[in-house]
Amino acid sequence: MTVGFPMADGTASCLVIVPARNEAASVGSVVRDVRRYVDWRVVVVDDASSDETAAEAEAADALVLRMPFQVGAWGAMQTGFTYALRHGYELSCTMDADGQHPGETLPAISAPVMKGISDVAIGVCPERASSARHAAWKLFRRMTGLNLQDVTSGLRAYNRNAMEVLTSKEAALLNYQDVGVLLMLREAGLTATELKVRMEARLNGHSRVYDSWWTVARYLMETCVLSAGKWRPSWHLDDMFIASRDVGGDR
Amino acid sequence: MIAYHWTSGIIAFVLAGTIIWLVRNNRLQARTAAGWMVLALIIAATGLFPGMVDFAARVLGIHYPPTLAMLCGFAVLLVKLVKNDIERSRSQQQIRILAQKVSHLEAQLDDRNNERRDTDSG
Repeated sequence: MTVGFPMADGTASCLVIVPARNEAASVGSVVRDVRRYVDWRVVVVDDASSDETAAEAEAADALVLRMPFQVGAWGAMQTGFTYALRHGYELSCTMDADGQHPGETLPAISAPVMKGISDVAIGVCPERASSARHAAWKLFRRMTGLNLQDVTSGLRAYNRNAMEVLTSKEAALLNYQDVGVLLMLREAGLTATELKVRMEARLNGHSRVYDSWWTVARYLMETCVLSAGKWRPSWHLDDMFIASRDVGGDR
Repeated sequence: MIAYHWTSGIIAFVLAGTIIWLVRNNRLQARTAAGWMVLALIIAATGLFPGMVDFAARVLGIHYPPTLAMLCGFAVLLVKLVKNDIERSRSQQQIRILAQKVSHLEAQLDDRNNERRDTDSG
């Protein structure tokens, strides 16, 4: 617990969190790609992979946190936040291990949080998503009043306030880093910035959420129930959650 | 006497309301809640369209349709019980793994502290 804020050069101490499950093929290049652009520590949270994910991450000089059993992408992410908080990091950036989030976007994603414009920054790439996914996002926007383009993006930056909210006991009930997380942040009075970034196609595999009709149906149902449960009358009256937006073009 | 679809509707409404309330108070995971909401929808549907149960009973050769509804209710409960047991077994397993891991870490930490003390005094 030695790293303070701000550091001598005026920047915040930042941790990159990469939750990974069976991503041996891509995790190494993801870590090396991050290192090309920023000099931040990278933590790979290995969610009980059965392949060489942990070894590949270590070979790329990342710190690996090994989960004793599968806790899900969100559980792994929370483990990363706990690490960041315990070791005094002021900021954490989260990205997927499948290679769809380029390391070059990290300085842009972390900037609004570092400058104190908002507590959270979300990297979005609307062109990338299928029309079905756009329909799902639209439904979630309607239900929650969350005026965000992409509610499921895994490329985000969080400050300490946000990380503290997201490591609470209540946050451990969530399963995905999406609507539930955003609702929780808004309820805590925190703010977000949306930034348009370039994203790549996944190096291997496919989305863990959108991989079969059954999981899609279950995911939609879960998110609808969650949105209904967390509904507040004030949701649709204001847009306090969005601090700034740089997504290029209209919505 | 009130109509059957009112009874069924009230049961569905109370069930759905309770589930939403539990989610709101962070007492129930959305994943579990979704299953209960589906059940509430089914109860509401059987209340609104009682003919559905009658039709299904006729197809399945059951002479007294309410028996089918009861049977389905029991089946759902049975499945839920088994699922609960599976979940509980998994939780137990995870707790054991965690306990083992913690004890190993504690031993490792003790070892390291002892080594440091030895080098400090030596």
